[in-house]
Amino acid sequence: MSSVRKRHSFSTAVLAAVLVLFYAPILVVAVNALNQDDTLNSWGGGTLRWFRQILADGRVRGDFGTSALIAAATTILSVAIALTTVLAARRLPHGGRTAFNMITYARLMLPEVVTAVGLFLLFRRFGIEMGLVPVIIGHTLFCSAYATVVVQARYAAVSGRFSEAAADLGAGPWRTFRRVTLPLLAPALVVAGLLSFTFSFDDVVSSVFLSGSSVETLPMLMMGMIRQRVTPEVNAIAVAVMTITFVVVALVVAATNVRAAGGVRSSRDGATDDE
Amino acid sequence: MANLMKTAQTKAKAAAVRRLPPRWGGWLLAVPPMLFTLLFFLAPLVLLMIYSFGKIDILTFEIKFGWNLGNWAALGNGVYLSGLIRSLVLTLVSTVLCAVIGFPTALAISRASGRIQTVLLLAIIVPYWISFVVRNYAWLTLLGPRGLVTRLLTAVHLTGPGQDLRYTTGAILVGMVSSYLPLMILPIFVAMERIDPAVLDAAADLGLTALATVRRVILPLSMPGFIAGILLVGIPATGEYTIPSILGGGKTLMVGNIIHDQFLGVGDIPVGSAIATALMGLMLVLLLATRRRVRQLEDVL
Amino acid sequence: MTNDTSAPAKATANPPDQATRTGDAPVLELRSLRREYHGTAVVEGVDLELRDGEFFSFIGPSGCGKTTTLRMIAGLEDATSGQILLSGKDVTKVPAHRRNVHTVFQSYALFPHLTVAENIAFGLREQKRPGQEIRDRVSRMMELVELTGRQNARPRELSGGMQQRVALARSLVLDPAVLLLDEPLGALDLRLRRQMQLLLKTVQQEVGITFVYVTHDQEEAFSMSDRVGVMNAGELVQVGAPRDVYERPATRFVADFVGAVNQLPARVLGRSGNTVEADVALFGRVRVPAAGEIGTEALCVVRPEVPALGPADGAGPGCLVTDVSFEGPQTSLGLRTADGIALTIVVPSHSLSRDLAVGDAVTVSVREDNLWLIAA
Repeated sequence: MSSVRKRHSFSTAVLAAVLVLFYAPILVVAVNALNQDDTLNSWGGGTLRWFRQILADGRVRGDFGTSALIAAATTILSVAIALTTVLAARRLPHGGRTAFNMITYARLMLPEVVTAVGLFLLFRRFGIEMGLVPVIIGHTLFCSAYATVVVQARYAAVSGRFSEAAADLGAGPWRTFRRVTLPLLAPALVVAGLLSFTFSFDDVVSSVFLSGSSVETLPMLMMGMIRQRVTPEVNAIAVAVMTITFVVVALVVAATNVRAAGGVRSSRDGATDDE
Repeated sequence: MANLMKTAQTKAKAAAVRRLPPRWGGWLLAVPPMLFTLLFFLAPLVLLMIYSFGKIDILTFEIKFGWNLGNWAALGNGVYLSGLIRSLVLTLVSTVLCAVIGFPTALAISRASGRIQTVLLLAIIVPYWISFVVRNYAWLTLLGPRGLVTRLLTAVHLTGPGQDLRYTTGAILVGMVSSYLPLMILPIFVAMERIDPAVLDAAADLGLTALATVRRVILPLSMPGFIAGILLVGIPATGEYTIPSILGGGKTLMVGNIIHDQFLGVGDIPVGSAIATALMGLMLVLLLATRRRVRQLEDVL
Repeated sequence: MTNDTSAPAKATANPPDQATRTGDAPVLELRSLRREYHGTAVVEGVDLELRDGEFFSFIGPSGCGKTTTLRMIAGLEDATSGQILLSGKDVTKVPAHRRNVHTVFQSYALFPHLTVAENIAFGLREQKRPGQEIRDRVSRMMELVELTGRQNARPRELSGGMQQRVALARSLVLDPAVLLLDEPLGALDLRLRRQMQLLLKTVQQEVGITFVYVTHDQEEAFSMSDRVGVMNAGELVQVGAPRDVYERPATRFVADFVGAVNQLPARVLGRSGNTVEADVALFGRVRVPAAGEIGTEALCVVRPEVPALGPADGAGPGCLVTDVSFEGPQTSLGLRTADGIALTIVVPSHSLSRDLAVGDAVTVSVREDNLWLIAA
């Protein structure tokens, strides 16, 4: 039917437009990172000059390290919180579980300015200096929520009957966790960790509010450079950051395929009834 | 009596499968996350509310607490109010645009199969993982007087030559939509995937054209996805700070920037707190209004 | 109160320990087992004794409490009150992982991240057995369940029937005192189910372990079990050998459950020894065996295969044929008498004239000792 094809081609066209919307800016940045022309008004020939510049720039390297450090700490905290939340929620009565869920979603959805500003007040009130730790806490607030959602989804699929089976076969609570629950959760933990790392590394709002005068993260540096419209170095930094993200995504995809290979679905799914 | 037992039986079975025996010390595990959430999530929000009733002394920058409604009154006048309203309007328009664009996109993806579908999904998600700063900075380049987009629009006579499209409301809109679109597409897609294909067959069998099927069957059944998308986009977008900072050119255009100025700029923390609390309240209202749908939200997420 | 009909039915209540052989302690004993959920009892007053090496099945409709009872024996659910004894020891408060009882789950619950051999070896590894012993026991078990050659496969690569056997092997290799099976064959198609029933029965006899089986399929339970227990709304209503439960249901519920569709009103006129004199609708005064406590108003259970079909001028009450359903080896006939009493009987198809049609007049006759009286 031609009407079917018309509907198909409309939504496909929208999809194509959306993909252009997403990737055109990224491509432009990548291209400009290699652009000789520093006014970026036209293509001035290829060069690696900007990359050399940022590698030589101590401030850039320093901020990169800071961001990485914060992201690493955030990841560890977030995954730990996610794991304990998911394991605990299972054992709580219905009301407790709902409360946990609501708080997780609230952390995901509440605008970051609100939570960041609240933390700002909290630390000020108790005389804690803004800096590394407040930033880490700010990041962990929402990264742990993302991590919890990821781990929760996986846990729902694998827990319950597997822990029962393990107990039935003689494994106590700790042994069950070590031999059954944890291995089955592992891929989700990896994904949650990578997610947390990425979101923490790229974070702006919490970092701005909670870093104080002593700490600067890479996104903060970039924001400053953009405002001052200094040089196209920003493009090079952006490409570097994007490369890291792509590496992370590749790792996630690999981890996801491992999970699929490990067989998360019920041992009965997809089993054929023939001999 | 027998029926009562039977229902209790089924409930017991369901509950026993879902919940593990409590003697496995679940309460101990709950302590770290509960402590963290209480201290760093709930306490700050309470503090915000308290501060919103305080008053700052302009000379000493000391804050006196009390049931001061001055800050809240200040929200009603000029600068703050217009900023708040502009924020809300921008968010609303962005969210609607996301929904309008997101639906056909999700539809196209759900029509793809196997490998292609996975690739498409990744293609949609990956940009969300690239920092907002990078993506929106790119728009600055594209929307400048010599930028590609500007040149394109000039070619189709939608704008004059050499027009600087940066630092406008339109630029912010473009940034918002392109940044938040994945968060709208994904939940709608998930909701679509849950539609029983047999239902679509039934629609065709009953004589609905493809267009009518989309309008009368797929759209309503994707509603949980829309709700999730609207929440995931609308709420964070209201407090967006990064995008207006970059594409708004330092002019205070949205609530996020206003709050930032109050706290780290001007220093009128009580007013900033009031604005933040107002934002929080708005979000709570939105969440409560869709509370019935939260269950479906869980499924979709 | 549990009705045990493993001994010939008496008009009075049976002594409770008919199930135990003299000198053998029961391998599993349930005493007044009760499980409450939100104030309502989902299992109530269950008393049971199982011999070593017995194949026992719990049967009953969905929600009757059979799975809950099984899970309590396994330790996966706590009993609200009552006791569970394994080989004489009270294990009611002992957690699941310390009971020498293992389960074959309805969904198999094979660990997806382990191979077949690793799954089977799971419990043995937990017991810290030496490696060689584990390998030997696993391969012997795999032979027993006919799975050799699949040691390194992953559960998701196997068919339903094979996964079933891995689940069986995994629990059996631990040499439990009792093996529990929770509707294990539910997901299999008919042919496979028959195969697995045979395998289970063979394995059980070879290994000599007590099996406790839960199913809603009465035929399946009857074909495999030494004894069955019928449950309804949390109570264990009748326990006995399949034939006894089938021919001598203790209550109306059990009669309905095993398919005794004809229950004619009867009036009790007197008792003597094993039998009761009663006036049964349609058949008049008869002397028939009866269940325990029945009052003056009773029901006479006429199993569909019991009445013999005769020609219109034959002996016995006359009726009209209202329905003929050919079912292959047997044919189901609906009959109705002049007084409006309806009867469903089942006869071997080959014994019927091909011209038998709806509206024909026939007679039915029964042997008195094939009837059975239960309380109304």
